[in-house]
Amino acid sequence: MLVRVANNLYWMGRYIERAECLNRYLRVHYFSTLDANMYENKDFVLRSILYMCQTEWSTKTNFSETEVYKETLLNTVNPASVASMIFNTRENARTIRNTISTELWETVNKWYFYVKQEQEQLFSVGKIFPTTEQNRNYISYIRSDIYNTLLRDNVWHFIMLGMLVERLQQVIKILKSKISDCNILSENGLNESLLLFQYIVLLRCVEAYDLHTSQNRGQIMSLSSIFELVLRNDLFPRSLNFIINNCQFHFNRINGKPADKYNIEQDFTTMIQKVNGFKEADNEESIISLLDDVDGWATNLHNKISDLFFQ
Amino acid sequence: MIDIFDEYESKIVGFDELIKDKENGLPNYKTIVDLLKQMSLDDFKAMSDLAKLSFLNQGVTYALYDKEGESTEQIFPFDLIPRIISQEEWSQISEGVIQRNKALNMFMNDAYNEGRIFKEKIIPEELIFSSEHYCKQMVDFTPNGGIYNHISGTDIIRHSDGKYYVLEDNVRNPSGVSYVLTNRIAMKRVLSPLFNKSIVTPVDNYSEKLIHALWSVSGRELGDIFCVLLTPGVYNSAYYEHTFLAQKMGIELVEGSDLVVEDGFVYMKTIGGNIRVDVIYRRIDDAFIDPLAFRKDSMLGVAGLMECYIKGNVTIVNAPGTGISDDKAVCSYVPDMIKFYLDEETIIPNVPTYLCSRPKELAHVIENLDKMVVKPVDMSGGYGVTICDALSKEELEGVKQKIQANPRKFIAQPKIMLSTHATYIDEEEIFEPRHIDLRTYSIYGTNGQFVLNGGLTRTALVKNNLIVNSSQGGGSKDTWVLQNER
Repeated sequence: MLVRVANNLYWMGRYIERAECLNRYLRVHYFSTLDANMYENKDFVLRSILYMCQTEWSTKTNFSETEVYKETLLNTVNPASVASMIFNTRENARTIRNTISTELWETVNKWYFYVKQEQEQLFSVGKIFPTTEQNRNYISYIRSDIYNTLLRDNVWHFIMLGMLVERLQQVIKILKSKISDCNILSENGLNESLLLFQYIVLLRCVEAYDLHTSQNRGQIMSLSSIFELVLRNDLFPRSLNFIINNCQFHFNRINGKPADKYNIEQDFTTMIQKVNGFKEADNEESIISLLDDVDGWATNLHNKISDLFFQ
Repeated sequence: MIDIFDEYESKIVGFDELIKDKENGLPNYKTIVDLLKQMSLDDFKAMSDLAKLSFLNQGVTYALYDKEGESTEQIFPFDLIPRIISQEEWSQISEGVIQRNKALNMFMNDAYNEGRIFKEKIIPEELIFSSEHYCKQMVDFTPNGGIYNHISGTDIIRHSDGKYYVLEDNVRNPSGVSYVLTNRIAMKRVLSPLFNKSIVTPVDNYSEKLIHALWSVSGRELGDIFCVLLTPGVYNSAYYEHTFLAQKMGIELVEGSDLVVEDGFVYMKTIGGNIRVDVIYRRIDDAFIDPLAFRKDSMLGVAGLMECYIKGNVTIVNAPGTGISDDKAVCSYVPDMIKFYLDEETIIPNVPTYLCSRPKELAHVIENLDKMVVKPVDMSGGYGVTICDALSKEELEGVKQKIQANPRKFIAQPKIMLSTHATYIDEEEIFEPRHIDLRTYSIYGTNGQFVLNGGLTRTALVKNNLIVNSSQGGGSKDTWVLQNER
């Protein structure tokens, strides 16, 4: 496989995952502000969104709800918007469209034209649900095409590797962001129902709310029960444990790879042991410390993959 | 109910494909005329929109650049009414194209080696040596398999006299073949009943024939041959076609930066190390394929590629230097080449062409400038073409001065009325005659020649416009060659 093609596949995977994650984050947060619990804290939520997107707007003082959602959903001048992720997905797919399946290419292409069409229309908050819903649908079609129309060869492994590395970093970002939100709200006099609401928002941001409920029947939702699920549960596709295990799976199966000069294989094993051995899911400081460790490790993993395959 | 002939005939000037067929009892177009009679205009419009959406979703687009360099992706306008050619007419076209390709190939081999045709004074050698596309690196060199013009696009028109003429040969990087194949797919999707009633020759064997031709000129054993398609990249206007062809042939689509030269061989950079490349189907102009041999500022090519080529370690398709046959002034000599190399009469004649580099012909052109179509010898895509009868006196004077300043750069042709064909005009919601031409696509390997059935019918969408190129707002039609018997 061409070095450039491997790079494009990997980045296509990353952008799909990043778009999905941000799209979901926006959707969950928009709905969270419609409830009385968070209505009073609307500005706070908007700031949280801007922080997640890491836009230049983070430092602005005055903005409206419409502006923030338009900026983060549809503005391609903002490189961190969902639309930018979609455009980048399509650019990467276009460069390698002869490598991926026609079905996958056409779905990505349709998604791109859908967003372009949306950009040309007047934006209002009423558009947030249909736009994020449509994005969600397109991502589902794309995942389906990836699963059903590609051989389980290097094309598949590089896309999956890109998706999983991105997922790891996005999940960590969400967890850290929500912990930080809880702390800020706490300083402002967070009550118990608001804290519980934030936990629910966190779980919804990683699509784990229903899973958490079914896994912890009859138990009170707590920091510990949430982080057991999102850190260590090896059956939950967005847990750190699951993601790292699957990264290792795809890395190992890349055919014809050069010698593993960075000992990436060993890195995986070490990190899986570390996450599995984590026993302090009720201790916020320990959780943050673990998240920082895994985040740094994921950045290193990306750098090593880039150097090993894409140079 | 659509009556395609309703108010149609009154708009015709010159030769119209549909009306000619009607006069003969509709042997070719009866199926389509009958089908339209069963449809409402709304049905037709819905099908036309469906076809367009299909092109957009598939990404069958090309990039158009504005003055600021901003690009927009456009669908190549597609007309649902197919152009139909009978088997007898097609046989003549196909034989004529094969004859030209053969003569042009022999000419290029001769021009870069012995130069017999110059010695015999059939073609003035200065015409070739002064061509912008003359490639001195090709002198005294014969490519693998002895073939230069592996892929050719021959532009053919039908004049008011009902006869076919060659307008020009494209033997550098002819584009547009993917539209032939995707047009057919779109037609089958939206007008499948037509195919049940007509016997249309298929077009989907093109990529198979092309890869076989690439293998045939590799100079290596079948099974060991590694071919790639070299593209300038995603921003090239024909990028869709590059990806399409690479996918259909099952070969890698590479950019210049994906290739590297080591020890006289070309390699492709893969995640597992370098792989030797045997054949490069390049869709990059000569000037950009190797910064060491041609333009030093090229970021698109591969440094050292020409050296590997001259050593015979890699085959480049089409061969560098084929542009000498692309030169519109040289095109006018093709009938002479056919006579000289093949001792045959030309099957499809050329459109009469005046070379401004010849003083006598220049005088004739200047004297009759208002009746001429003036073209630069080295441009394609309809760029630089001037149809003089539409010009003011001042504008004509400007053209005259341009020609006189550099006569070698121009040829002139009498204004030829391209035949017309019924075309659906979106804005007016009517069927009107529009001028068309035909670009045939042929493949030349050591295993023989192949001409794709039908080719690309290009249609000028603006009334009375004679320029059909997509870059000038033209569209296309599916082209059917009818098979006599199933």
